[in-house]
Amino acid sequence: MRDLRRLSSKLNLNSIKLITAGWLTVSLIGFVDATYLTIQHYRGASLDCYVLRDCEEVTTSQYATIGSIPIGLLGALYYVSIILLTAAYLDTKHSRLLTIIPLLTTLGFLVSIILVYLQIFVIRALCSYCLLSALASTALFILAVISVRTSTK
Amino acid sequence: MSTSRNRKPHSAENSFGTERKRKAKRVAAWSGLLLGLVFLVFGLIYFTDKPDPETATQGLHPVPASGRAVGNPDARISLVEYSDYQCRRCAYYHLIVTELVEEVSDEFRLIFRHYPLRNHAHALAAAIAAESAGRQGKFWEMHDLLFSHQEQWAEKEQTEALEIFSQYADSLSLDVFQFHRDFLSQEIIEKVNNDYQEGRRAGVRSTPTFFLNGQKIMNKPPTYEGFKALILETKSELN
Repeated sequence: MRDLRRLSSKLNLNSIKLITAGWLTVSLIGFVDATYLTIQHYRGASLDCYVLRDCEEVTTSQYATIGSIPIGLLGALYYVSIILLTAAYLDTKHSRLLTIIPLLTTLGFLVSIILVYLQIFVIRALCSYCLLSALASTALFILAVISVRTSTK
Repeated sequence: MSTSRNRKPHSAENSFGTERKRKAKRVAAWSGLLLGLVFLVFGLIYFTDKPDPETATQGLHPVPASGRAVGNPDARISLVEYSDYQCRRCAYYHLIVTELVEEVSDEFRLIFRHYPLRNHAHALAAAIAAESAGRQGKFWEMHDLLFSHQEQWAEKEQTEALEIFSQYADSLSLDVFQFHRDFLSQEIIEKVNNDYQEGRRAGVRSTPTFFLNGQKIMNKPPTYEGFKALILETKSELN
């Protein structure tokens, strides 16, 4: 019985390691993507998109900014905070961080749903860079769900 | 007894040492991460806007001054515009540039070059339509029509968009039959493609991109006043 418990806690530890590695990788991808969008926004440049070719429709729409802040910048801040929080967890092993990150990824996931909805039904155009970010935040959320399930086991 | 007394401070020193090492490691890891992120951002800024090494190493005027030109041919200032008829921002900047040409055309020469983005279904056709009209001496008229009526054709199916271009040709009193023949000419397609390729080599990655006397304008002024000030500033620098 004790062996089983030890084994299960070892497995948990391994899956938490995998999850943190996943968080780091995915949020790094999201960070690069969102930063690129932000840079292009401030340059006032339209994007040379090769797949899903309506980047410009989306990034120049009224939904691309909140006030004067581009959504890309908010995205970049979101991803960088996931990177830093995950790094903080790896450093301190504070279990509280394992509850903060899932909360944040839930928020990110909900925002992504809204943004994808806007692209499909309101702007009626899809932008590949924006969808990549939506995919990244969905992946972060899925990993977060797994992490919560693992730590409550 | 004496040995254990000797050992205690020794082991405390040891653990102090490992603690210090641990701390140094943490500081190094965090600084590495933060530095990495900063480098990533600067790398993105740099690499997404880098001209091709070919032109960069040549150290030549990065933008060939050929293309459709308007304004003062003897002016010491040249403004090269790489644009796409289907891009909304290009239509917006077209208004600014038109006003510049009307108000301060003595100061500079505008050279227009095509950069039809591949994600715009009719951008290439529109560029070809403008050049075809140019064969009958009405490039700028067609150019203005395409930009000012962008919303009429940008979202249409291809055949409809082409039909609209023909109507523009007709409204400009062009020989529509000839316009259609020119539209299919390989020479025009090559000219547009050549503009695109040269733009790409000069570092154009998005539209509109402007070069003022060969220097890419990094932060395009969003207003007529801003653009005019930029041109006058360049003029005063030359004097």
